[in-house]
Amino acid sequence: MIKRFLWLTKKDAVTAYRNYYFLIVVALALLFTLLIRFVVPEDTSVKATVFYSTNYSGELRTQLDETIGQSKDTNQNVVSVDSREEIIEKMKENTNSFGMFIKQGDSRPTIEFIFQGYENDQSRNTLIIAMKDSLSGKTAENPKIDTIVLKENISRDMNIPMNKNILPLFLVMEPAMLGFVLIVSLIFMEKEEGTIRAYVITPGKIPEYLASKITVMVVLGIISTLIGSLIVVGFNADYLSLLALVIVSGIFFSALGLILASFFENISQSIIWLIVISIILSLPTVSYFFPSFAPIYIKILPTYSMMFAIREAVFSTGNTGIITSTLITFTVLSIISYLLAIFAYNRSLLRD
Amino acid sequence: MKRILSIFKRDLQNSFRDNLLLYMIIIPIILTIGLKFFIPSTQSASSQFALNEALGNEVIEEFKKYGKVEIYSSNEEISDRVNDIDDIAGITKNEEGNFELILEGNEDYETERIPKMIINDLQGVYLDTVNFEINDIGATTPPIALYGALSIMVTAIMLGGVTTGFNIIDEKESGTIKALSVTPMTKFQFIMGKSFLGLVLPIVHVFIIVWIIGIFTPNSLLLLLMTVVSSLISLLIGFLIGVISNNQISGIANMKGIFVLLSLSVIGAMLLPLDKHIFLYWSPIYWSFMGIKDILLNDVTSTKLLINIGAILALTGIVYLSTKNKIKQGLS
Repeated sequence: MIKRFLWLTKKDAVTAYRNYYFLIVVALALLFTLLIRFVVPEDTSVKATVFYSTNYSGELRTQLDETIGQSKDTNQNVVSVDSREEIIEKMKENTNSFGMFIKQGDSRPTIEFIFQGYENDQSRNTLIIAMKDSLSGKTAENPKIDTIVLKENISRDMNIPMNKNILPLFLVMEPAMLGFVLIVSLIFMEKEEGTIRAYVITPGKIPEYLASKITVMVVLGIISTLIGSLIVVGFNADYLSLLALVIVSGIFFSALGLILASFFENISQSIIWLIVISIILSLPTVSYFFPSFAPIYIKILPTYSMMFAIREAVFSTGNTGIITSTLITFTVLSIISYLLAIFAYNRSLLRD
Repeated sequence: MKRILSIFKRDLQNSFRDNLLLYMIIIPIILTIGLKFFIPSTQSASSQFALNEALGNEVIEEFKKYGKVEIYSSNEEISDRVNDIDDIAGITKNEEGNFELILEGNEDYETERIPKMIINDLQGVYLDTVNFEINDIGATTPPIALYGALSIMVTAIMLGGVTTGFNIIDEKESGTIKALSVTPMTKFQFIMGKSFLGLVLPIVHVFIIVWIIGIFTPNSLLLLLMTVVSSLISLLIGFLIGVISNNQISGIANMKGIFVLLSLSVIGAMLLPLDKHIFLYWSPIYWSFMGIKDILLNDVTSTKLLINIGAILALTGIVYLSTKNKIKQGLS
């Protein structure tokens, strides 16, 4: 059985090699990571830009200037412009922005927040309260608020540069998930050639036939992971956990691809579903950038926990719980999806 | 023209046979409807708080002004919720009556700061030294709707090319491409027939997407022009995938490579600051993305339009000239 499995794996690896799978996986990993390393700036931000202007010279002017100056020092997205008109002009060019115009009110200064129009009341209220807080500088001083940290041992505020922070997304979308698309084409090629029908009349079994393909996909994933991670973070990652995560997710997504392929006769029928499912699986990217945004329909996607687990493996904070729980979940999912794939192929062969 | 239409008819029949055309038509629409439902939830993605019900209605209502509130009956339940992967701050009161903030330990700075500010405000810590005024410029399309719609539009445009590419692979595998070469049909007629579907569908999709999302642009003709111009590069890529791939398996591999490369330029256009966009100028899809974005934001000038269309045509021309012989050979 082992011998047959190894032979099948070798055959699938040769097919993958002849059809440029290895070349494409290596080229994409190199391209992605070189872009992350050398093109995407470290201080890229997905946060809104603030355009502000001051037309006020009363007694609070210095305090207001200091408050905004502090924000400007820590946030490159705070930009000074010359007038209210310019604020609006800049806001029209950048839809992810808002404006702040400081002027003289009846008896005291007035801060006019100029929003785009799509922001909800909660976001607007938060900005106002943040400005109140900055002006009074009281946040850290209120003795009547106690803070309890549940996991004292994990590092906070890792200050991961934005470009490097993209690496976990690449690792999920490419090495962890590449089997989902590539294994489907391997299967259809053999379906067209009739290899699978010929195979079932040999002593070979379906589990070995599918496992060999999954193995090739996992190997491709490991190659892509190593290239990507070594270029971006060098040896500063928990490679044991990272590879374990890539292997279990590689098995799961490849088995998912196998199940999907079992429903269709050829690649043309399945290609749109491959694209749609890939898009749905990439939705947790939004939560990755905005961790407070986690509706239930995103949380249930397997890529959600995988993204954060891979980030933990790449930029270790000591929160090993997320790696362990994701590994357990994906191991269970991999076993279930592999068994389902075997069932689906046995059934479709019987049907044929 | 008759021959072009017969090729188009055959592609149409093939596509219907595999339900491919049906999928191609409905999938971008389903994705757009999905986006439409997704938009409101991203709009409420400000902050989230897990509150102990013992805090009382006044406090709970106050927190609701700043984000999504979840109510729990015990501190243990709050701790369990805070330990989930997403960022959420737990708020309760201790035995002395002081507010207590429960954090997991890896949240961003804002998750800790915002509840503290709300509590400060509740306790009257802030002095009213400044008046606040709120206005807006009437832009009701949030970035997620704009960029989501743009991404689906670009996907729909590229899908046209993919279908053309896979139809060509199908012709090669079934040997009909050789049979066609001994008929009076010219290569131009063959190419036109194959391109028809890839040109018409994106136009229909782009306007349906705009309608569903509710982005009303007064520049419909420009949008039509930009879609047609953008479809040219998509079709060329489709032909390339078709001729360089000997079978569907290498077609998938080539498609994956080319599409990841092109989608990089879309992600780059969304994330990179303008001064770094120079790294994306090589990609015709970047120019399509920027061109359609300008039109949807009603921020289009004749110079911008000429630059965007000129860049797409020039890049398409370069790709065509450098691959012309390959395509001719592949279609022989």
